[in-house]
Amino acid sequence: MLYCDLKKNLTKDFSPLPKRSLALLGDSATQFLAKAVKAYGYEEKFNFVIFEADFDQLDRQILDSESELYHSKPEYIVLYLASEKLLDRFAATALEARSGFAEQVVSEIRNWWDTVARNSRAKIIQLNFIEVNDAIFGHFAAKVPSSFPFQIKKINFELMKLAQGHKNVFLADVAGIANQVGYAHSHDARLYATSKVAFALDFLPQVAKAITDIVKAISGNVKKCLILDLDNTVWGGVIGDDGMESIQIGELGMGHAFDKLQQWAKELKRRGIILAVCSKNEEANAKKPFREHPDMTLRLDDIAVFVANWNNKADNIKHIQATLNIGFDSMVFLDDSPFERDLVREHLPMVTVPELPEDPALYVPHLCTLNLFETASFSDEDLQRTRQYQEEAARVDLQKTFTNIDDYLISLEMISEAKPFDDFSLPRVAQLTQRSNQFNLRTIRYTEADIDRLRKSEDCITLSFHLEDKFGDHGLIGLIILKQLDSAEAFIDTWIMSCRVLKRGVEEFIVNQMARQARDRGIQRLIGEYLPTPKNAMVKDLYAQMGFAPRNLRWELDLSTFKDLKTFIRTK
Amino acid sequence: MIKTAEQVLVEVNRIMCDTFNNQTIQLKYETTAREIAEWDSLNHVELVLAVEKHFKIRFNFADLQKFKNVGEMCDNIVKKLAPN
Repeated sequence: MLYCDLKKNLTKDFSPLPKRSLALLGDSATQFLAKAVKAYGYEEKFNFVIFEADFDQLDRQILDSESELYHSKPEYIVLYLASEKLLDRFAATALEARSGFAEQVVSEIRNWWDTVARNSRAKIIQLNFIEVNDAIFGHFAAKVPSSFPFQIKKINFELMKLAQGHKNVFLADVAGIANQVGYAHSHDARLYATSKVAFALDFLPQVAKAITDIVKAISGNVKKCLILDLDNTVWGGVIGDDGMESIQIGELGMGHAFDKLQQWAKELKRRGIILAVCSKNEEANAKKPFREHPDMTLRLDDIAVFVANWNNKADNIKHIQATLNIGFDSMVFLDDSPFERDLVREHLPMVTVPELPEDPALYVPHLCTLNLFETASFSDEDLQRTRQYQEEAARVDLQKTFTNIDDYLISLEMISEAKPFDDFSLPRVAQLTQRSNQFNLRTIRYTEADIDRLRKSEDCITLSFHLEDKFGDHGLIGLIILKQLDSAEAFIDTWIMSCRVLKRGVEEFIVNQMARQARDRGIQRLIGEYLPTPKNAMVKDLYAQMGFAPRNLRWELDLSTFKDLKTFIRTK
Repeated sequence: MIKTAEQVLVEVNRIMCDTFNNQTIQLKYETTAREIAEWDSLNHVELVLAVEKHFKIRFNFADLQKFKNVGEMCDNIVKKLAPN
């Protein structure tokens, strides 16, 4: 997208879009970047309210706790240091100090991050550095620690290491985007010389996209599932016509192009993205290569839901959605056929349906530029997701053999336990608050740093719930944050549950555990609240179902008369 | 492609209207930046880059500072478009 096209968004009506306050601090001119971010926000339905600090005011704005920056109460602070400015500074550094240049720069940035964390709850989006080679040592710079290329690469690397320990910091990989387009397209030396604008105009939309993608992920808007067409998407040719021996994968025809797509999908699956298949084929034909073809990277056990029939694809995607119980807006659908893409776009506008280039060798490079799978967190549990959905399929099969739901629940042999949040559960807890939309009573989003503060607070009771049954471990499936209002009352600030474990008695188990923990502290009443969103209608009657009584616009559970609710989950 | 300064001026006028988001601007050969409200230093940069893209030319930024009015910029564009 060109800057002049993106800029047209600025005349649009932003007023219906949710506001996000964002501060932009840079050591070069940032006016164009601010415009680009504002305009790009429209693409993703954000109304960015941008505070722009004066040129080169990072120290003053960040270190002074009374600065305009903090008064603007930003939810996000974008920090942007230009590589060209860095080079000026490097040139002014004494020769003997240059080997320590990166360390010096990174320690200043660290000081900014820490200071922001002390003065505000804003999340920091730090842009990393475009890795410029100043051609002083040529390629040999790689072996000279006191060279600029060596030091700038080191800064980028050290920032990644440092960011791991700063939960409120998110790095935007500007260097990576610049690699895609080249320095000639990411920097315009004439623009920099005359106006101190360090990014080329037509590079700005991509930087704005990076910033917006990160905000989007932190806001809980992430993709969870990749749905794949098969013929001419996952392999070349048509399995029903060509037969398994003639489809193109591996050495055959354009096979390597399709191998790349399979490899990419497999890596996404390893990261925790659920894979599904949606193909117009006979099911037995469609599954055969996954079982038998030696060159297939994707195997049947990589696919959580496999749909191959002759129904229209929109209906099949609805079926996949119902099986996985995730939102349409968290699904990406890949298909080589423009007809199928349009059909799905028309019937299911929430599903992301990227264009695909005609040449299959370009599928993955094109998809990489779209950055569809941005995330704001990553935990070990992401790795288990496909297995969990497959275990779920086994449970559904078992359920069909029972006519009485209680008998079925007893046969599952469920065990759970309520534990306060700890170091291990922290990332997953934060992730659930960021991502859960459906079974989420108040939809308050927390970062890891927020969660860490809450769990250490005297006034809070935090509870995390794991669930195991005879088919396997569901992992962390529920969480509660109780805030004690006074000696008699506690408020249910957060109640989130995974939709995978609905109707198993987990809700009842959680209420019983909340009641027990609250009573231990002498609390007499639990207060619940339901804040409606477009996605959480499923829990609007939850408190009524759990025996809470309406009071004002909230719900109340009197613990003096409360008796444990029926559940077949045993405590560990 | 050979173009006259008048033709170039019409095209520059259209680019300026789009870039400054104001369809009422009417340029003459003698027009200067002072006469157009939106023509500040930032919009100037955008305009120059948009003009470059449109005519597929590249200005010498040092020349840009010497132009006294829109017309001189158009003359420079005509010169760049002319076959050598």
